[in-house]
Amino acid sequence: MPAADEVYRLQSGDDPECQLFQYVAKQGHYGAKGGSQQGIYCIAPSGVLLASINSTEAAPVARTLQKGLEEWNKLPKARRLLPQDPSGWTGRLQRDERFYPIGGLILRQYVRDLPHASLPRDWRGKAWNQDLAWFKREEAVQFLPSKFEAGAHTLVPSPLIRRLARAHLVDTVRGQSRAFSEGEVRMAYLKSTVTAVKGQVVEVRFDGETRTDSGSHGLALRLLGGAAFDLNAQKYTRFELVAAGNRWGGTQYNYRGSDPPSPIGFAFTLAGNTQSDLLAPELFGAYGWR
Amino acid sequence: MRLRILLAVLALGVCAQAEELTDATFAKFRAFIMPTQAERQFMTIPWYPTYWQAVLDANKREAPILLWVMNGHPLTCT
Repeated sequence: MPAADEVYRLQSGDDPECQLFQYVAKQGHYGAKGGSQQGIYCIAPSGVLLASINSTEAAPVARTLQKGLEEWNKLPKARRLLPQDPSGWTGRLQRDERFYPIGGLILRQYVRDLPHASLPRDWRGKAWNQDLAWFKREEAVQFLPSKFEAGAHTLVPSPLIRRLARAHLVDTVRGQSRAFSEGEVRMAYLKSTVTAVKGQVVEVRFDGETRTDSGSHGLALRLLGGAAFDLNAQKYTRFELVAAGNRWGGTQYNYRGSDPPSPIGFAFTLAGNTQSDLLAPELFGAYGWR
Repeated sequence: MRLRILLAVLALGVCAQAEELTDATFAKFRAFIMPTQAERQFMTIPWYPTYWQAVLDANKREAPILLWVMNGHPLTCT
């Protein structure tokens, strides 16, 4: 059964899921050493480790999976499963998915470097990343003007666009970065204009800008897009937003090093309905919802 | 100092060459930024999105778990 998850919470938290992972990781490739425990683990549901590795090379990973399967087949049935049904512990989990905004607006976000002359020809030139952005039901409708007639317009409330700038318009093309603080958002606005009303569907156009600057890194972006909102269903049937401009500087883990400023692009679209679309945004801590 | 100014000017020059996001270029930008089907291939694996969900199901079905964990969730931002 393939599963994917975020390692920092698992290795540092204290709920039942984290405790079970920590038991597994101590048996794994990094043992009890400090630092990240990221990697690939083959595990019995009981927490018995079958095999593990941290590699991006296909052959060693395939060998690890094969070894894991062999160990599983040798493992006595009594050691395979947890001694009691773990479902009763689910309520004790401290995952951010607890705050999933039911009935809200969920966007899937993509980011990558835009073409430019100094783009490296190695993995960095092909890098891209993704995330999810959450808006509560009452926030979602604030992307619309209050009058549903062509030409009506509004500025989307500042806290929503500032949150987008702080927690999502972040340079994660090559790896993780941190959220911007409120004080590091120098400018953020998004104008929403009704372009058409077709029956119960209101169509809007978005146009805006953001500028964030920590002193050592930042982004200046133009935002454009549009959405269609079904008044009957009270939900968006289309939501497209693109942000493009320049990034500069870097953070500890985003592999920018001393790269010069360069163009970057973000695209937001309605999230799908898979299990992974229910995951929390990477920088959820910056939302202030906990 | 002169070198730093020169590098900054060169860098800005590189940025200035980039096409601007406008209504006319919107679709082109969006298409370029969105990952291709090949790039999203790993997302087609029926991953359990959390370790715990896999534990619950694997414990019921008596099956082993393949767990991929990264700093930042591999199915969102890693």
